[in-house]
Amino acid sequence: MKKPYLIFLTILTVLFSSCQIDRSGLPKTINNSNLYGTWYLKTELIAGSSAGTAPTSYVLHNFNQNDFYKFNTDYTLNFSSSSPPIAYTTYYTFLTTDNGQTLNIGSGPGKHTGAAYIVNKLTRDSLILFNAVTANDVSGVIYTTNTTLMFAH
Amino acid sequence: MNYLLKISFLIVSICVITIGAKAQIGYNFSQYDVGIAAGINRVYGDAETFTNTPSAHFNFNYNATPFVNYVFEIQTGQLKGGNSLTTVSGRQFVNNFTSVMLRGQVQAGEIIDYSQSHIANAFKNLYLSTGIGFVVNHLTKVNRNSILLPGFYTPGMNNSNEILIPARIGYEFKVFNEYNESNFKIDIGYQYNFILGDGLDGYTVGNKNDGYSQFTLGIKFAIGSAITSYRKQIFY
Repeated sequence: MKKPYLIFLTILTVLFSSCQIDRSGLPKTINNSNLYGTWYLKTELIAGSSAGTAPTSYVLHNFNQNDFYKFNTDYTLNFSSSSPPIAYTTYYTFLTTDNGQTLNIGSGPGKHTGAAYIVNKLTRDSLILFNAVTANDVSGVIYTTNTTLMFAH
Repeated sequence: MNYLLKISFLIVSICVITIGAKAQIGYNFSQYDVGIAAGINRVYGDAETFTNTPSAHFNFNYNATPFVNYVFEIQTGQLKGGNSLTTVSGRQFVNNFTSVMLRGQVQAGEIIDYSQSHIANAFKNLYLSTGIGFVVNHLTKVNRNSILLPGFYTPGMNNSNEILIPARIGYEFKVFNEYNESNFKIDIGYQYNFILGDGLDGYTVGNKNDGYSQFTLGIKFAIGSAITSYRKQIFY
């Protein structure tokens, strides 16, 4: 008499354990509560280089309370910049990829294109993002620009 | 006088036989039912969120016994899932599906003695069922490009046919008439359809096949007369 109940329980277990989303093909999102909140831009390092010329670099500190990224839990990002003055809401994704942890930021209005950053550091009070862009200039010379953004609350 | 006795004996015998036949009430069942049902469906696939959707079911039943049934069923309805705006993958779909399946169904009454226990009698209509079928997928809406993650694209087909394996657990309330024959049934059940493919949601990705679950409520009507007799009393 115990056998039918055993079969019954096995079938029930199989039925209900099947009710799952296939997550194997999804982007590997990171849920890190340290990211959420407003991060004010404090420092921007720009290093440029191209074949045959000496590398150049700049360090910018002239940011204020209008230069920030605000990461919300619903994948929206409030972007604000003082120069040029603009503010808009876009989307972001925080993922694990072959390059490490990457933060993809969606585009804004006009020429404000999105960007993909490698997250070099994320703690409760520090966020450092890195981005490398390689392109051809108007004369066909290949140049690379490395940008590092340092944020704090 | 002898002739009168014989006639009297014959009449009494017929009466006794009739009484005996009366005692068989509760054994007979109809071998064929037709039924309709409504279902609430949910897809377990590659999209990140669930949406419950309705479906309509039509079935024809051959009852080998009151508790062993073969069900041919056609289902049609909509399957939905995902959210293109709030999920990272951006997957969202609407599938106007049609499925056809043949199931064998065994109710507890076939294997337990329910004549001596009220609890066993209540459980006699509990059943398990499985079989084989196929589903025709017609995706009327499908979002493949992610908004949150530009460049993330999920491939797949908008139209496909796939084999399915249904697994069902349910309860069939048998409503008996004045002759204790069940000519009307209410069927409530939970069914999971294992799809032997990955196209139910229009996305071919990942390493698991799709599936969809169903909660169903239906009614079945006996067709033809209840002339087939079961080996034990059905109604208690």
